[in-house]
Amino acid sequence: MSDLIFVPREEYGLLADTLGRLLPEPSSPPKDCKALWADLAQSGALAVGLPEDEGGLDDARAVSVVAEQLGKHGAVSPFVGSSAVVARLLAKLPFAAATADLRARLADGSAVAAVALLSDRPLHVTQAGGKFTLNGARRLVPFGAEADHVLVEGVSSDKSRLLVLAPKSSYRVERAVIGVDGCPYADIVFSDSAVGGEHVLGAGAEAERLWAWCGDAYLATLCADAVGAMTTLVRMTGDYLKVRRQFGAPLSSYQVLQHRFVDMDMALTESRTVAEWAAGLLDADDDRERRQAVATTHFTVMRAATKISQDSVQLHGGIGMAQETAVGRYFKRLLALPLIFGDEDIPLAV
Amino acid sequence: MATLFSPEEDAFRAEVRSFISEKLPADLRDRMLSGGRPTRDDKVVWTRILHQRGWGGYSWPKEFGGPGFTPVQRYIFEDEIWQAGAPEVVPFGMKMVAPVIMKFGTVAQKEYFLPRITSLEHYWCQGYSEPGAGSDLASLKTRAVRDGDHYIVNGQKIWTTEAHEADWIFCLVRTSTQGRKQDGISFLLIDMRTPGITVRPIITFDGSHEINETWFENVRVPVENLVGEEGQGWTCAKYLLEKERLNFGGMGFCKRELARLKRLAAEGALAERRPLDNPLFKARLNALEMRVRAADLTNLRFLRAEQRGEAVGLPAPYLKVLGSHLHQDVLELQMRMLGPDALPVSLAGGGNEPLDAISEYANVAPTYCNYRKTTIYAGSNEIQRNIAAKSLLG
Repeated sequence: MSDLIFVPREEYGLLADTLGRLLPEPSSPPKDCKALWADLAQSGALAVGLPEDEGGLDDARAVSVVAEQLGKHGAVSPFVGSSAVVARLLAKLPFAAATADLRARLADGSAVAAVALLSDRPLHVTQAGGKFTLNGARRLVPFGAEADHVLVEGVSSDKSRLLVLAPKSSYRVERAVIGVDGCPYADIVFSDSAVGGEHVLGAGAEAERLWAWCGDAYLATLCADAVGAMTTLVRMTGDYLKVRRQFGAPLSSYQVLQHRFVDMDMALTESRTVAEWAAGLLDADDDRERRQAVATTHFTVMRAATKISQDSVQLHGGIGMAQETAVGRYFKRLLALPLIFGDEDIPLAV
Repeated sequence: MATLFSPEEDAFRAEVRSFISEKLPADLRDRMLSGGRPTRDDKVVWTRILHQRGWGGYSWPKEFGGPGFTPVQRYIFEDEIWQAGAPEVVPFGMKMVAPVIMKFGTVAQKEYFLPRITSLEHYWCQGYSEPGAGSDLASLKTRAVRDGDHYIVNGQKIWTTEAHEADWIFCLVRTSTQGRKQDGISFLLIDMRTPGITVRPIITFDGSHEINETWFENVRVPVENLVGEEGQGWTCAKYLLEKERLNFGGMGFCKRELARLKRLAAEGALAERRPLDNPLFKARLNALEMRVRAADLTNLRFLRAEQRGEAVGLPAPYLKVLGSHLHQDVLELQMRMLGPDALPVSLAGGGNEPLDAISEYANVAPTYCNYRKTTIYAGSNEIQRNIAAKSLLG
């Protein structure tokens, strides 16, 4: 069977429906993170990216269907790092069999993995015998305090890269914070932390390649999440324009507002296109093709997210500023993308 | 992993590509790839080459003599046409009046007109806009009054693209002033050689003659040239507008001109200035390429949905708006890259010698000027947003 991008598999509709019923209404306050995680595990959503014999669909596009629903319903969870990146990375590795048990725990929700995306501080790895020793820190790891494992990229004394899935016991959480997007982040510190060779997932050029995949997978999945959040903002704004009356007529009757709203929906339409494209190419053999799709998606979604979130508040008027309205929550959720990966200028600088 | 196209579609693309590279005259290709606009003869030559291969009406179903391409094959076909430097097939016949004849026409109309469109024996133009009916098209006033077996047509059409080169014109005419203004409109096919038709050129500010004003003075049109019922013209027009905008090849133009931009940047006097080494310019180019890619793939996504028989989003208005802005932005970037080299457009002293022959740069600024039309024609972008808003907000 050839899988075509833009031709959804039947399973996607079922998956979206299941999650749509499971997750709280987009306008209601977010559910407790732990309870939500248990629900997601129960539904099988955490496994969809895994191979078929592990209960999944072996399909990055299915992962982005889940991410989109999470974004649409404003659900805060470690799904992107744990399920979309680490679990799938483990399944890709040549020694995948050795990590089957961990993947099963990531899929049933009993374990959570996170990704230390920011590499702005040194993280040194030295090797002696079969042991690796880590020294350094990672800042603002999403769900860093809650995770059981954190994926980090370190550097050895000869400047070569190492990809390490560090167990909780190997680092301490120095500072836990809540981000503007509602997601928890933590700084973690390694001091003479020894880990066994089984925690090292790759070295040298292979580590760099895998780490690049992780970044792209994280970014592409976050873009799918953003498509969900933008869908909600566009729907809320359209609904509001239809009911809010000023000067004796609904706002939706004013052309200046109609055209702004159409531009929001058009930006969402393009974002959905590129997000589906990037998801379809995440597992492509050709790294360059994947990179190009993800960069285009980053650019397109970033532009759309800024436009849609800002215009949603503007078109709601005063009520859009109120914390009791859900608009602001989605506005802030959409800030994760530029703050972590950079705004739309970043993919242009190549 | 997933792919954008199936192996069968890739094979189809290869077939189209090799056909074009074998059959497209080299001089025509070179002119098109250096920004030239095709002449009437160019279009006739190329359409007849396609016609011989059975592709003269490449967007048509088999029952009307087309190849019966799927929507995605049609997309691939046009993409190859543009990238190879072949001229675009005249849209007024094949893509606009033909689908209306297929849907609403009589058997006799189908048998007479359709074969003459694929062979380009009939070169068509479109009579829609009038001086008093632009965006508000339904208020058009050109009258067609029944007189025995004929309609007598009186009035004026404007912005008629290629009317001076056309054999036939399809017109929206007013057959009734009663009731809703849309309901008094009919769709009429008129032979341009009929006595009483006068075509006067309108020169656009790039200096070219593409559009005209077309006058009708007691023009006798046989009633068998009415398409559909009297009063059904607005329905025909709306159907045509849908057909016109989905997959109208807009991104093909952008991709071709972006490739040209990169070629110009790397050769001749421009190469010494190394425009692509300017990080701000390079970022602009990257942004434009990404926007073209996103719009192009959105077109493909809509076509996949069409192929599945699903309605997804608002294909027609969105592709029109996205495509028209990209046309303009690509040409603007070309022009800005050239800088002072885009200034000369003709020789001083009234010589008629086209500067194109001296410098390829000479068509860049005029084409930029000419393409300001894209956000205006085929339903201005503001009208497109009105249409989309009606669908989204009621």
